Amino acid sequence: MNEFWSNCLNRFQEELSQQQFNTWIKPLDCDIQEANVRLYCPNRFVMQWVKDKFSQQISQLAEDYLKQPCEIEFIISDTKKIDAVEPRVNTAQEVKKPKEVKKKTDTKSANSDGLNPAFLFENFVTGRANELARAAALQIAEKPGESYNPLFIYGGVGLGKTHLIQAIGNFVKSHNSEAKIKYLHAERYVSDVVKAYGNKSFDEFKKKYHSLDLILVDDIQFFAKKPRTQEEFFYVFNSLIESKKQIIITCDTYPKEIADMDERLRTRFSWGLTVAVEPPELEMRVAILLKKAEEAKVKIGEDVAFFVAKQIRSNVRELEGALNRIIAMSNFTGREIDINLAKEALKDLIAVKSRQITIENIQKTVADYYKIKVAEMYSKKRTRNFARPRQVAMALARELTNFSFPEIGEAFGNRHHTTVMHACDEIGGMKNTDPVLARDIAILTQVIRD
Amino acid sequence: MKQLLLDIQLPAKPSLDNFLVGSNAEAIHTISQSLTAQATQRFIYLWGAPGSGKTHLLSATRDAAEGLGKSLVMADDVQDFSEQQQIDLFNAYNQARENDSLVLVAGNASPMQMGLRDDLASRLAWGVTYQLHPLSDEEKAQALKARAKQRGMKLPDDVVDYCFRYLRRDLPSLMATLDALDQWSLTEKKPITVAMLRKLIQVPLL
Repeated sequence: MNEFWSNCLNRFQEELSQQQFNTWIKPLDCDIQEANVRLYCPNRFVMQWVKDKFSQQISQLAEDYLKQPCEIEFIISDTKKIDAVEPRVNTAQEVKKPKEVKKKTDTKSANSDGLNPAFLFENFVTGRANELARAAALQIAEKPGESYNPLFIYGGVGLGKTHLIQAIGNFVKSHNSEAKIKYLHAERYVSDVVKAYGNKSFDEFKKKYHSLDLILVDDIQFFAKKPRTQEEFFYVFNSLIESKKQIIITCDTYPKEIADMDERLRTRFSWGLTVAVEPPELEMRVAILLKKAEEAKVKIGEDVAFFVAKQIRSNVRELEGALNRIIAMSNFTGREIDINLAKEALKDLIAVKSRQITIENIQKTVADYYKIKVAEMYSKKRTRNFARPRQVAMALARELTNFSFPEIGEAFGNRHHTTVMHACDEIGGMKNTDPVLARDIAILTQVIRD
Repeated sequence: MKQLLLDIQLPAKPSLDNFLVGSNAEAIHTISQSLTAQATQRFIYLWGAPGSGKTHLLSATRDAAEGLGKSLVMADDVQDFSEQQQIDLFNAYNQARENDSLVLVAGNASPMQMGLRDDLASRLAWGVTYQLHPLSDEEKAQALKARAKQRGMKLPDDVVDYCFRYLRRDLPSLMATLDALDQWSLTEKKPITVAMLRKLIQVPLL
């Protein structure tokens, strides 16, 4: 491998998530002749993606390296030389294997910790939408009870929260077989409390929960309107925090927003680190599909993965469901999985999805969300509590429909198109600095697309 | 005058075998498969218009699962579920994932389109989803003719046309009518004609 390309690889490996790097950059090969840089791509999808997303950066790096302006040529070629990254990854996997097998037999015999051995960091697909949450989870898994406590992970449904916290549990377990770990869905905890009340078996209950080294509670919003459960959890929480035991919680929203929850708990939930998982972007959805297909021992082409990922944007479960349907159809018909089969398998689904997203629908959803009247979307009022939702709606209209800036302006009470452009810029910029706004937009996007 | 009576019996117990597949062959295959040891899909969601066969398939699957001693979580008309019912189904679903049960749920629209709780809807979408397509009138007519042939009865085309024009066109009703006609024709030793059918159905059907 030439020096330039190995520099490039290092750069990208630092900048991109592992998943992105493996999907887009690692399969490439490169050679340089004078000022001509040739990039060999395994197929046209990778080529298009790299061209769109990374070519500028690559040509910048090439110019820095060659110290002259240069040209990048993209070539489709499936003969990629084996690069240096490969063996390292392989050995890492081999070392891990026996441990995984052992874990499986362990949990089969005593499944009281609630951990599913299939949820690991290794098979958690990472992208921009969840890399922060993953990093936090990994850090905590390495030193439970010592860094952030509690870890509070929130986000919409089907975005991998359970996978992530289960991975923490499995990681801790594999490094310390003595650790007392308990994963449970909030609903299970509620019924445990009810049982303890019914049987007057609180000593047992306390023994069970207060002696844990690591507790993982999924979907804590299910504690809403259950004061006894909340009170019991409050005691568990205090006791575990005090003895430096790790608490990990997932929820569909951030602590302050949880409805019908004791204020003392809400405050405590944000004592440690609160991180969001967001809906996966296209490249991550592609990576997820490829990974899931691999796990199901099915071969799907990247064109198929792209097709599916473009159709289904809202959550990972639906994505997996679509893949399941494609596999089922291939099993039934005995046909190979290709783009035509995928189209056929998802015909019903796509028919439902292709319901056009309208500006009116966006305006209504956004107005509902911010609890203002739809009329404020067209009104001239410029107070912040109307202007901001209006801007959000404009930005969403731009992103989710094909309408032009002038058309969007017109739909928002005949505003000038530069107003819309300004709104899009402003919201786009704020999304990166304001986590509350970023979350609002993620949720609204999910709702509107569904 | 002796009253003519059409003795319409309740349709046969629904089974996976007596479901007319029409364009739903893959769905039926997947359901049948899910009951075997080689099951690849354990979470199946069915949706479609009334009369597309959801309830038939659900009750057939329940019977089959009972016969095999398989644990099955089942819910019909999930679009009408109350908040609490949805939470119950959500819990049952999670439980089923842990202990290898089968889950079969049906509703009137695709999982994300019914206004259900997101956590439940996304789980319903997680497995494999089939829209059931009702049989066309043509397919139903074929089914009637096939059944008639099987029973050795003569079923003129104009009788079939008449049924489709004036009677309820869901398949169970049509089949029940056919069976009653056969019975009547055997007892009375008379052929089935439109004129006769017209007389017969003056006694309200069903």
